[in-house]
Amino acid sequence: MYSSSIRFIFKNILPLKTPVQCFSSAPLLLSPEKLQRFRTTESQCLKHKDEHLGLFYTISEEDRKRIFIYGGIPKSFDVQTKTFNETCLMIRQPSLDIINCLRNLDYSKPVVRFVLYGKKGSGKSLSLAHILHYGYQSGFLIVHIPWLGNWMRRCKEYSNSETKEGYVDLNLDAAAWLLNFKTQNSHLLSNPEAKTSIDYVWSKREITPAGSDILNLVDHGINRIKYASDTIIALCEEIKKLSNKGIFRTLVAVDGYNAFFYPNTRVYTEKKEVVHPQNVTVTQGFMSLTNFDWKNGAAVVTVDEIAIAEEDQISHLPRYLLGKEGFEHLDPFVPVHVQNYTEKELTSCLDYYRERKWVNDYPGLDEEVKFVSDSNPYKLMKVCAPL
Amino acid sequence: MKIFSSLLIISRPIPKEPVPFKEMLPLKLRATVSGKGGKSSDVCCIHEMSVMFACFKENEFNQDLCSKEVEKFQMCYKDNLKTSKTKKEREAKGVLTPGEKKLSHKQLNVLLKKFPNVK
Amino acid sequence: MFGITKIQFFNSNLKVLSTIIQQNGMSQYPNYYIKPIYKKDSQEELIKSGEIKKLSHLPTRAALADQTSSFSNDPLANLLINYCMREGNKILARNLVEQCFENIKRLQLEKYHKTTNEEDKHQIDLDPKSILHKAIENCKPILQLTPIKRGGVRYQVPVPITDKKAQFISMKWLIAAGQEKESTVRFNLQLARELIDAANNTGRVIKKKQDLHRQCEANRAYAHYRWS
Repeated sequence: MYSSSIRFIFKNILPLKTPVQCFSSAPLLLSPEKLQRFRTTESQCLKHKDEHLGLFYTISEEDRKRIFIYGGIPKSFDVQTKTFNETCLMIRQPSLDIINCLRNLDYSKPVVRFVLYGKKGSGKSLSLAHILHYGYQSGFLIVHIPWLGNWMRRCKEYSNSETKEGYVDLNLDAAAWLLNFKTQNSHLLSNPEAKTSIDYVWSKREITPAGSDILNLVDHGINRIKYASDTIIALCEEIKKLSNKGIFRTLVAVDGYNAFFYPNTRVYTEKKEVVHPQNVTVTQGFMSLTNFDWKNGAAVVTVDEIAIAEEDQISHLPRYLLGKEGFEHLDPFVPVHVQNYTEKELTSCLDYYRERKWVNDYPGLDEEVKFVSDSNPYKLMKVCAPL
Repeated sequence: MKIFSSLLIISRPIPKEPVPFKEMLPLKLRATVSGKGGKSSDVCCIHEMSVMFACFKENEFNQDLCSKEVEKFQMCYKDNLKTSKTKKEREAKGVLTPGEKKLSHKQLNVLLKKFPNVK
Repeated sequence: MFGITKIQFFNSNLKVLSTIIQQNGMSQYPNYYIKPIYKKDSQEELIKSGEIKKLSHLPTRAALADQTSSFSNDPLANLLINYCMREGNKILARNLVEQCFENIKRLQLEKYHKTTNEEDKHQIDLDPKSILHKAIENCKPILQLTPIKRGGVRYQVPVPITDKKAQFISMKWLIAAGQEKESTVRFNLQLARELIDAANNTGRVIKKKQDLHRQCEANRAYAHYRWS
């Protein structure tokens, strides 16, 4: 009667059939070679190759402040970087694949669209951050929306558009994004050939004439928040024209692109009706940028379940998240699947945590953590937090 | 009222001194002793406590500097707990040890049963 | 007839019934069921000493859900989770304590990266569980005050305390100190701060313990009143 309970407790101790590794109770001291097994000193994304897979590389402080000041690094990872005193990203297969593609693309052909997809917490945003860092170091003009959910589901302020009937503006968010664009690309925008092609008439007294600097256009949007959304649309068209001419090579990076096609936003008209994202002025600009009617650029986009409401988070696959409209707009695209950690990546991540003194080591840590977190990067981070 | 009370004298007469003794219950002691009635319990370790308090006052209640006295006090208390526990167990069984001065009610009942009041 | 309920009958005849049915208060197990030994090292010790031959024939209770054989399982941490739990919400209690440990690590690592001196760096403890153990050990009071009535007056008498009770009081004080906070601060953050302070022998809970000792010292004259 009680034999089942005895067997439950004692089955691991009676004559062992499975091999048992003997660990001492002393803390594992990582030798210097092991310390460097998970790191690489190669901080130039241009030189990241297959041999660097699973290794961590450091993003310098100034790069980080330049590119990611408005967002781009997820909040929970941001807290980790503050604790570890450094920003280190793991070099993984999906981002390396896209970087290799970007290196070897024929930029005289129409724009190629890449879509990063994967389950929650598998590393899509950080892969995008790696690609963005590569773009910045390679001299691309960066058009980066850090998290589209912030605009569609947590917008700061919405108002009816004055220039377009039935559209809604997100002016504060638009102005903040223009400032971010300026900071990310200030070294490129001072190029003397970056000029507007047509006149932009904002009101009777405000005109941005043709042939003025792009910087002027951006500044106008930042200073006159009322026209920020319209400035963004104008800016997107200008970027396309300039890329076509060959003055810039553009990288469009959007995190949570499927939020452009999810009808249940939290943007409302002044009459408290829900606004479809296609009726938001800013959307038009970015939709035209992710089109394939221009060249000398690339678009890397992630589709994320978290960008939509919880009740509709059924599948992580692009066809479901983009819907019919989105899929047809982006089709044909290159789908890139971001998966959970492999064995090598998991060991590398745990070695990094041990070296940063984040995890108190004990024998059997690797197997237990792998089992509990299912090698999902986000869950791994959460599981290791109280250890 | 006085008339009524004088009427009642017949049924309930006023007792006259001296009152004659009536045996209601048998004039015999019980063969057992009850366990009720509080015992004076362990008032122990007071000396150790006062030593510890003196040390505390000197060192401004810094426990690290008084570790010896604290340990002595705690050991004293632990020992007392142990002895009282073993004593209680023995007393509960009713086992008699020769030469013991303070007996529990169970031990006394064992003795009384052995040597009952013969009548 | 009398309308006596089953429970009343049961409670009034406990002594009689206990000889017939082996019972143990409200426990689902009779009292001869032994507690499970779930840690691998204690199991190995039993094999070495040979006690396992006796124990393997005894009926055992089922292990609880938070009794795992992992090295990261800490009985004191489990106790803390249970003491934080309200209305059986173990999930919330466990999350709070886990976040508290995370906060301890972050606070300590911040200090670690700030200090440049190598010796000081070794002094900083980065393991949240060892900080918990130290904090509980440092906050344990040595005596407690019990109210004893003598001649109509209630005196607070200093009385020695068992180790388990001292540990319970220490953990209760730590949790209460974690709850005394501004409304903007989270409980797990406040508890983390209290644990780190207590492990360094400073902070609110240590002060509370010392105040208790001071009161006991002030009332030492009443010590003779103990149950006599």
